[in-house]
Amino acid sequence: MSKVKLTGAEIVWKCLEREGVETVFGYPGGCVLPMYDALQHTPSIHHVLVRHEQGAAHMADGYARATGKVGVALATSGPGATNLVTGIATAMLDSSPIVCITGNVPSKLIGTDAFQEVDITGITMPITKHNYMVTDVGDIARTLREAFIIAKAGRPGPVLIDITKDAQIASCEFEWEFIQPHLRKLETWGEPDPVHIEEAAALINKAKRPVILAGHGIMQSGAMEDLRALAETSDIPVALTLLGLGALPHFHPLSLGMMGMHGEAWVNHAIQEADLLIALGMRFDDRVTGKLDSYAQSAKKIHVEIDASEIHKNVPADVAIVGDLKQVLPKLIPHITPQKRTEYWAEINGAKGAVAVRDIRNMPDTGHLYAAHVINDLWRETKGKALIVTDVGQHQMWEAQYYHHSDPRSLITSGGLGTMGFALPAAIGAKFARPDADVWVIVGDGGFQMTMAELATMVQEGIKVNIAIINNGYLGMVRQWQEFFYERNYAATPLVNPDFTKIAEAYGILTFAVTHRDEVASTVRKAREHEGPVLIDFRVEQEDSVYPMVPAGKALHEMIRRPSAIVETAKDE
Amino acid sequence: MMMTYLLDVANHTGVVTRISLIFRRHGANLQSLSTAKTEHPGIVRIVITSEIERRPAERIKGQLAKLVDIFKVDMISHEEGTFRAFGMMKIACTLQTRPQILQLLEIFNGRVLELTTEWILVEMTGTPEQLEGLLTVLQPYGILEAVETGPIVIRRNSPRHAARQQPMWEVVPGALASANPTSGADSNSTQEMKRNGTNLL
Repeated sequence: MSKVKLTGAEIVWKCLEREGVETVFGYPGGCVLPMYDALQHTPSIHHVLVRHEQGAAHMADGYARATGKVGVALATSGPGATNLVTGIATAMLDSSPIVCITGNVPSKLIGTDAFQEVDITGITMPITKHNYMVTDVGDIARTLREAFIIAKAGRPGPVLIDITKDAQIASCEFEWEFIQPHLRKLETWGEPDPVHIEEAAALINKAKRPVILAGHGIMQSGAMEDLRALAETSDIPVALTLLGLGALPHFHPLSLGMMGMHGEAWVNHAIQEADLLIALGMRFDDRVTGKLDSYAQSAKKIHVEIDASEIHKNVPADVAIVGDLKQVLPKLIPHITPQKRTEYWAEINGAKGAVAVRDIRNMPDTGHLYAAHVINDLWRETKGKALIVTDVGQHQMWEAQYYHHSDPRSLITSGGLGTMGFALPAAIGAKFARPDADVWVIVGDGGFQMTMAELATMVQEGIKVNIAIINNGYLGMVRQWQEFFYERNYAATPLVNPDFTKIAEAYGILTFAVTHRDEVASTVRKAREHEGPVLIDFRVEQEDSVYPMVPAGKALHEMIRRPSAIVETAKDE
Repeated sequence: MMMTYLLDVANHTGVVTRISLIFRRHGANLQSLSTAKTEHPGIVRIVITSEIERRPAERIKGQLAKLVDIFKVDMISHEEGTFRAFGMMKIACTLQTRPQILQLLEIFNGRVLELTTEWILVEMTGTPEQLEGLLTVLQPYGILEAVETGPIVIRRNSPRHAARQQPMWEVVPGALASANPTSGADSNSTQEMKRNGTNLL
């Protein structure tokens, strides 16, 4: 077989092509010029020109989360590379498989503080699964092959490859079939141990008050059906983490909804009073456990997780199974005795009913526009079938509470890192991954202004993403904390905003401003009917808070509840 | 609590940085770090001692095991391994004190490397405690300079198989087929490690 000689830059694109990459989000610069020059020979890959490299990383992330495929971002050396950092950390904390490629100065200049030189592999070591610096053209193909393997293996995550300019220019023989990755075994868990499966099954079969805690891992593993089968066999309530929303349809009778800091009261109470927690693909983040010392005191814990370092990290497990849920659950389910937990469910549903009267949706229309109404009406209008991408803050929590997700991968949000400015670029990436999806950005007025430059990317690419700004004139979640814990000292949280409709108009985007509840549904309808992108500025109640709330450092059951004043029928605490 | 980590790592640039970043993240100071080649080409053995509490020590172990460049992470207690460190000391030494110092060296199995009328340079190999002991008894004579390597260690009751296996590179489906099948580890110890939920290799 005759081998072809290619430049390093050409090899990069050939490898991406062979990895099945169709879209690359990037921004050119001096040290990636050879790669941009070689791009013309790879028509199968579409390059999306972003407006800021952070956007490129978030787009790659959104792309990855929408499908599970690896997202790719490309940036130049120095500031181009450092601008990726927030996006890489976001992907790391939420286990999103992305590969970031950066150029660097020629290898002779490395370490000399050359123009636009930065040690990006050093900078990103703690926020990547692995990273590489490549100075030899002969290493490029193998490195890219390894990067894609690492990004996807086990618990997914970001990988960065820094390629010096001289390595991009030099050439060498290239034959994809002969590229041998040089990695240790990454899938280290193997078959689940039958002893542990039996121990777990015994705990589940004898538990009186079990709760399943389902996380992002369900989606990552594709174990939605197995989760449902396990829950249904033993009639177990399922609480979801923020990133786990959609793992079980919201209206499934066994679904409790979201747990944690802004989880509904019945969910957190069920967890606190459980005698068994079955944690599946989740990591007991502080936002879902509250104070650890008082977390589910009387519950035994079964923890099934692909990342062994998560087991016993925050909450010690009584039965720990390291493995892929898709392999573990089918082994576990045959050992589960079918049963009905009628009394237990009567209790949970009672608690649910008591809370429903406090629900903001049940309050009369007072002329105020509440974010919860906006999101609930958006859910109704899109029939729950939209792909929602949220930013970080109050609107994110209201979305989680009032947009009832029924499909896996129907919510993309920055959970672990809590990155404001994530939504718009991530939604653009998601739209490229799923062009047929009805993609909606739900974003606060603060976060939107962090990355709104990407409106131009969206327009240049001619894609349709609908944007709902939940505009309350505050950095709302911080304001809420100031209201609750800092005596309403609203330091640096009020925002003087531009007119978002005018900004979007300047980009040629159709806009609406909504101030009343009765306009919400019709505007959403108009937005969906319009062919191009639409921005809706929902000017909502300014000092509204997200309830319930577990204050940071408090036990999970110590919630600040919705004020009963909102609903006259609500009587007890 | 003094923790000793035994790491088998790939001989790649930056691997020590990746390891030390994880310790630093947990606020753990490295007391000693010794790195050297092993009987397997391409595999480097790193021994790290650090003063850490048990819980962060376990977290560090788990996070180390996730590093792509690391084949094996082991934590070892004092009783489980044979520890050896090497030290060199330059001691002030007069004609009068010389016989006493030589006598002490004999007791501690130290060796004289150089000798002048003013000082004596000695070397010693032993457990870190023995080195500490020699330093203590030589203290009264005046220590001009003392250096010590971190300990290296070999597990005393190694697993049943005599030789340490060469860690395998993974055979990735889709790429060129390669010869090495993955190693079949001892089933008993694998189960034990699974129970702890901390092994990754």
